[in-house]
Amino acid sequence: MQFQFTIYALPLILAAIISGWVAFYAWRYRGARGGMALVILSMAIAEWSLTYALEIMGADLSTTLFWTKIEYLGVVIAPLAWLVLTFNYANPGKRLDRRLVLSLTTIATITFLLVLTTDLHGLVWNNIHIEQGAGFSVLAVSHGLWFWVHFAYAYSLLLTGAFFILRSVVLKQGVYRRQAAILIVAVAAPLIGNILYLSGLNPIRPLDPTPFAFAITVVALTWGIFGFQLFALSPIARDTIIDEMQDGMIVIDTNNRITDINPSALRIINVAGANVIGRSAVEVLSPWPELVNKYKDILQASDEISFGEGKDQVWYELRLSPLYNKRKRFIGRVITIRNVTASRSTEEFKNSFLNDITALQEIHLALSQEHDLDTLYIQMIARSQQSLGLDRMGLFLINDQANELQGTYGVDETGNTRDERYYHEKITPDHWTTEILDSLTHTKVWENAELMDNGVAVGVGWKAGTTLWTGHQAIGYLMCDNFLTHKPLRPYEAELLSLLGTTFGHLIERTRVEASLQESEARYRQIVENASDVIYRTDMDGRFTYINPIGLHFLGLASDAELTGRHYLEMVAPHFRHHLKRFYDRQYIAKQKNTYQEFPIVSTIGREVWLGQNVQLIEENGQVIGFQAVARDITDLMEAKDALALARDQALEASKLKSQLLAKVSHELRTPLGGILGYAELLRYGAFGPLEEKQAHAASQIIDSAHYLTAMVNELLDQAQAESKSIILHIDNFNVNELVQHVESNMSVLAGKKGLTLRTSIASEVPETLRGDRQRLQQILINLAGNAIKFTKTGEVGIHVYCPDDAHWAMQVADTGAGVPKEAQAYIFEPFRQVNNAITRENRGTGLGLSITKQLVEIMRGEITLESEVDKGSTFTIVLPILKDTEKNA
Amino acid sequence: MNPPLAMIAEDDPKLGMIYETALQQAGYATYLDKGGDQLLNDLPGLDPALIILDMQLPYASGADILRQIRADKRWDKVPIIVATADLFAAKSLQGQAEYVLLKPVSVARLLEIVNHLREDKKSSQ
Repeated sequence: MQFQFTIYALPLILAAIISGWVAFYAWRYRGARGGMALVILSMAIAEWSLTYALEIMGADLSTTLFWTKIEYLGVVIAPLAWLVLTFNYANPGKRLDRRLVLSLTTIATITFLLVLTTDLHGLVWNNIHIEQGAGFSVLAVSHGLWFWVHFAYAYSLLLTGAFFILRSVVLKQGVYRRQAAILIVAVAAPLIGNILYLSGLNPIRPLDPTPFAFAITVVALTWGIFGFQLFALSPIARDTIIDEMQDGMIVIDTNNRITDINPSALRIINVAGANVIGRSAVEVLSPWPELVNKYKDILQASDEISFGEGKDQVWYELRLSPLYNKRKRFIGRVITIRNVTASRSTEEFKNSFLNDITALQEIHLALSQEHDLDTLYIQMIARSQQSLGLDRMGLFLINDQANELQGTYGVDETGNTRDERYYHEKITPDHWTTEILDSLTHTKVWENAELMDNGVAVGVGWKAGTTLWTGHQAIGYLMCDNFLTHKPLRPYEAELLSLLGTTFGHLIERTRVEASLQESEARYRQIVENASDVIYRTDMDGRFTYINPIGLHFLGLASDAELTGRHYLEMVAPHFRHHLKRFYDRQYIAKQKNTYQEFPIVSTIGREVWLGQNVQLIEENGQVIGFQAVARDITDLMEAKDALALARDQALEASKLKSQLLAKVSHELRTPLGGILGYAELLRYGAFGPLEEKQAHAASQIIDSAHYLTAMVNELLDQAQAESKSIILHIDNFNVNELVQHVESNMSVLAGKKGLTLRTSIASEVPETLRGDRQRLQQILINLAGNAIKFTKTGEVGIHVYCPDDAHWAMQVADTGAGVPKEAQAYIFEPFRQVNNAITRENRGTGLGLSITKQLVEIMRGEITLESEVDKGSTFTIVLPILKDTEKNA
Repeated sequence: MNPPLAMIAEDDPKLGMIYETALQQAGYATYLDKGGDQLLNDLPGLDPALIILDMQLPYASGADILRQIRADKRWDKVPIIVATADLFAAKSLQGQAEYVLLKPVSVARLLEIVNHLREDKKSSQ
């Protein structure tokens, strides 16, 4: 091979380099539609340009011919690559018909093979020779038959590609328009170049300008790539997005023919795979006749349409937008179709849930004002049915012992509210309600459950239960099912019921508490208002905030309205106000919780009225905010107290007078008694001369009587003293033996006269010396012994001293006399009482002896007891404490 | 030897007569003051063996007389028998006189006391 350099080769080599670079650049975009075509086109032109450069540098025919033949590889490939590229650019989402591409490839291959073998058959070229130009040589040929086939092939492809580009330029706008313009330059360049070559108007004859033109094409493409990112940017990305997006898109022209449609739209209108481009939209969209009618002539719209029902229901959002070109001419419409089923059902769910929650809130608000429990239950059911779409439902309460369910109200089989208060059901350990309690939200849904009515199965459906929850405990259950409507479960049925149960639980609890509060309030109000005591409250300053009706009456007020601003001191008698104010000021300062005070009030009834008042501080958070008082009219009480005091004084005075009187009487009796006794004794002892027996007896009788009278006077006076509690004991040591001896010597004469034996004995354990009032002890003993002798006809009287225990000693006087009947033993110690009130010669006396004895014993802190049996005798026992040396027992 | 003298202050003439008779029987000479205003005056010239005093006297209080006699060393050894109809007076005078008797005073008791006094005197002599 021989080459000669020519300057004309340089632009060709440059064109080859540029084209090669473009191919290299486009290689990165080979995945994009049209990208591979551009790679092939660029490489074909590069090859064409490079081999053409080698052709014109060929120094001999064989060299030139060889490169010319090789050159045709690019020449046959370029138009085909151009066609594919332009088609893909102008017809997004579509592929060139494969058979067409195959047949074109076949033509190209045949051309290339015929070019390689043209020496043998001359079908492409014949008469091959070298034609010399200005410093270069080109191959000059005559064209054979197949050349014109190739010619037709190449030009039809070039023109078709140009057509595609031009058409898309009409449809596209903005940046795409300019991109298309560059493409036109790219298209026009080889066409013009080739036309020049064939027409003989070639300025650089005999050089073929086509490769140069293709270089321009390549440059234009490069510009397109750099300037507009021909492949990197929008058209392909946009196509990809449109083709692969879920939304359907249909473009129709002014004649309502479909000019573009993406795969999603084909799927949606269920014509996937069919070729609908160019067909009438009315025809293609025939499955949606209503839509076609509705929007046939409407430019812009937005609508939601649905197909199918229930779970299969599908919702589409449909948008219709007009298309205008740059001159604002209407050129068609775009329809986008979006499947909104998912978001729509979410929306629907959200809306209906929100509606139900709002309804729940409204129920709560409406029933918050209800105070009657039965009405509340009925309303709960009615409103749940109306507003929340509940079917059959019932409310059951747990009793106080938590062992029974009690019905309230429910719904009967016709949907009407039914009184179910008769219903009772034991809560057993494995009761169905435990399933509700065991669930996390206290709500249980049974699907395909047996639906019951009063314990009888009535059907199958879903049923659900939740607790009536007060916030801290379940007070009952809300049950519901779908017996009447057979409605399916809503997705949020359980949540709604749980909320409803909690709402109702709170309402019931509040109403119950309110009712019991009202009841107790009414009870206390009734007590306070009907109280005969004045009950009132004041603020810190002492101004009334409340007073009960009787209090109003005391204040002389007609109604509560007049109470405003009135002060408690206004109620108090003026002269007492200062004192009372100081009293309550002190209570406030000392924070004394309770006080009692009596005071006179301003009275309207003419006499002084006194109140006795309990006052308590009212505290709130440790701060005294006022007083509350309960005041009672104590006038009568005060008067009674005064009267009582007077009566007591009078009684005391009377008693004193009585004592004085008795003392006086005693005194006045004693003096004449002294005369009687003295004279009688003198007589008896013969001071006035010796007496006859009868005279001596008479004197003795006078002496006896005088002694008896003296004893009477002594007893009467002592009784008077005892009653006035003026007996004073003179405690001292005394000899027990001496005491007993003295009594014996006093009483033995009397006993002897009646033929009775008087025995005395002292037990060994009795101390020799004891402490006490010897005179009084002697008096007691003489008294008892005297009684014993008096009431005993035969037998004996015994005096016995002993110690029943370490701390006591006892004197016992026993006789064998008449005895004291049981019924008389009770009153025998009372003053002036004797067993038989009839006074006989034997038992005469004041009846005061035992009474005085008992009182003396009690003053000595002792005890006297009697054991007696009629006709057998009596035993009086006196038990006394043994006193220590220093002790006094009075 | 002169019989011992018993001085009596008693306003009731009957009782005065009884005391005198009884004491004379017992061998005493007697002096009777019926008003209570003479006994103290006459006392210095006499040397009584015993004095019987009533408490309620027309012109003087028996208690005063008792106190004055007891206050004078010359007579503090003279036994005094108080005879009163007043129980409270009798109690309040316990210990101030040798004997306090509540009326009616038995002649037998009076003679018993006189005998006691005689024996005491004998034993002390």
